[in-house]
Amino acid sequence: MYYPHTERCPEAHKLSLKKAHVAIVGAGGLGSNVAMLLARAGVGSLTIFDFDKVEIHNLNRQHYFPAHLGIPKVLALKAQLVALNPEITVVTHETFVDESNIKTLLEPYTYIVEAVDVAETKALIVEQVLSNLETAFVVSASGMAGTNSANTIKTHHPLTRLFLCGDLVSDVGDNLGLWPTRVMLCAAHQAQKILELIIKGGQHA
Amino acid sequence: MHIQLNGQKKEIPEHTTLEQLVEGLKFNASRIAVEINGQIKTYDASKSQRLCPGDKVEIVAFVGGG
Repeated sequence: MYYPHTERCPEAHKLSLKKAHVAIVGAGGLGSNVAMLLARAGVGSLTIFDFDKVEIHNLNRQHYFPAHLGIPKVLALKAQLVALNPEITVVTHETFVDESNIKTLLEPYTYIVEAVDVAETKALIVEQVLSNLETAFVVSASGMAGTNSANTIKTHHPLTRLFLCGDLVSDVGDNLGLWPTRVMLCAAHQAQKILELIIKGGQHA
Repeated sequence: MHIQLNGQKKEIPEHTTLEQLVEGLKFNASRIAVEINGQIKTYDASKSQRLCPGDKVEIVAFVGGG
């Protein structure tokens, strides 16, 4: 069987991608799209954490279809990732990541995608990971609600081991709505930064 | 005294704590992550820390959506 996912990838990068294991916290608009992009790029292993089931209001921006309604997101996503790239390893946890379990759950990982929706949970994940896990990088997202230009979504590097994708200000709590385009732009920024970190072995300023 | 706040020079009173700085800037303390001189600690563990002249303080504020 021929799997094309690293066909267009330079030879030197294929092994790095294949060996990489990325943790994704949240399998909603950000996490489901980040996961699909990393699977397409040939990342070898993903571990995905999410407690929710697929609901109808998720379908505008999250990588799910009506057939997935009512199914745990991590299982619906795993099925799609394996269908896309049969070589990938996907570990799923139907778990809500919080202060009590975050260190234990995320300790094994160097590359962690923060892909939850609540601002307080984003802050908790970032500060707990960076203060407890000394070698971990977090690629987080903040500010993708609303209808402003695609060009406002950027990858920022505000703290030593934190990359932050988004426009930093557009809060879904301000009733701006969430468009699939801006959410997926933000997810693509996150996935791109993870790929850069993998290829450069974390040697990234 | 002067500190560096998010890359900008900022004048603050002597003995200001991190918590006083955050409250003065009107940040929501439950939506931030803070690094002081390249070291990140949880906000609860570092909020009573008094800032020193020349400290480099980075405050990241998060908004909702995903």
